[in-house]
Amino acid sequence: MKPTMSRWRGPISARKLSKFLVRAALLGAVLLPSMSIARAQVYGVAKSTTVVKGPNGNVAAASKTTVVTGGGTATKTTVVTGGSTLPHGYIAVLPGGYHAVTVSGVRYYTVGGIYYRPQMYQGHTVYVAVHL
Amino acid sequence: MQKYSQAEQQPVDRRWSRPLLYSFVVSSLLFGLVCGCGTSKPTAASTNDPDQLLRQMSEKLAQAKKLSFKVDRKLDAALVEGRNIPENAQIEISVSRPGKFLAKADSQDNVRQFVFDGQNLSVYDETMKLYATVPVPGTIDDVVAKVDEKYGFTPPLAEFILSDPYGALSPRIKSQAYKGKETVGGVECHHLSLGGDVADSELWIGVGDLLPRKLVATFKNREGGPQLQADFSDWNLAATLDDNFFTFVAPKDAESIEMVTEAQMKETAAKAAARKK
Repeated sequence: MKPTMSRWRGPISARKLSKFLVRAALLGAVLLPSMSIARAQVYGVAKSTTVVKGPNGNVAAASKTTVVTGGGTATKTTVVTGGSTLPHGYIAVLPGGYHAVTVSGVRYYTVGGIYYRPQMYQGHTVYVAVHL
Repeated sequence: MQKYSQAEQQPVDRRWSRPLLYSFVVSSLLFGLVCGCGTSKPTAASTNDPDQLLRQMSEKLAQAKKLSFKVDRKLDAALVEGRNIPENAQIEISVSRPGKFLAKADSQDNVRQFVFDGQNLSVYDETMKLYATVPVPGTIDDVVAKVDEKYGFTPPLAEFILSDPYGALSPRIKSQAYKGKETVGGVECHHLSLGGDVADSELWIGVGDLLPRKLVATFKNREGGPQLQADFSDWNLAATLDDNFFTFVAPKDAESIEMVTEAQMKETAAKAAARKK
């Protein structure tokens, strides 16, 4: 009886091990990209645009997003574009001549007929254009 | 027969055992001396091994429970979010381990404070009198990791105030070299060159005190290889810092604003992109 059990235990544990390894690999594949993004902060410098180079050598840049061009296996590397950008509608510095207004107890800034609501983003004050 | 042979053997054993004992004692002492040098406290570096120096710097910083220091930080334009102009900032950092810090950054654009009291992180824009507070209970390590993940930033030079700076820095280092001794701000320093995927760094560590004195990081992932330069000064590893020092009290004329998460910003960007199409 014992030898039979030991014969069975071998294949079962190997199967379990391989299942575990496959699951671990899948989990790693899912988690690793997000981890590398979360760890992209270097000395407090905000995350950069991430660019992925496709197999044909074409390069795409996207703000704070990982982009894979050309499909297939991609080599993740260099960013080539200029300074950091904020999404459309956001500005980092208010245009000159602005003044603060309070609407329904909330502070806005207005200049040239456009209203901006201040928000804190990546440790800085930024301003998003809003319709009041 | 047995008794006789034992009696015969004893003097022989004694003759051999004495020199053996002496050599054992001497070699033990020598071994102890060698080991003693290798594991001496990180008060003065006795090595030119960059990894060892990083470890010693890390231990020195980690041992200080209450510390403060200043950093003169220069950022090239490409590293300044949304502005595209270089930034010079004088940063004062105070730490009370394990769960409190205050960093005040005074630049040409604004004055900002990052205050963490073990429960909440507040970012205060002194210039615009705006602040945002988010709950992030835990240690300094916890808040740095959580805020990085959720809000997409870390307090300035956070690597140096973590409980294990070596653990934070070393995974990024792909190559390292010892470049010799140089004087930085009147302090004799070890100059280390640390290569990484995102940035190549030059780090100067004081020979006498093993504290970081200067850091120059060149970001390889940005066009033109923009640099961050940080000059460290005014190290106090036994600072007197009351707990109230780390409590953020919003000034009466300051207004609370929302702290936007990375996820929210991505969603906004996606919507804006969709509208353009």
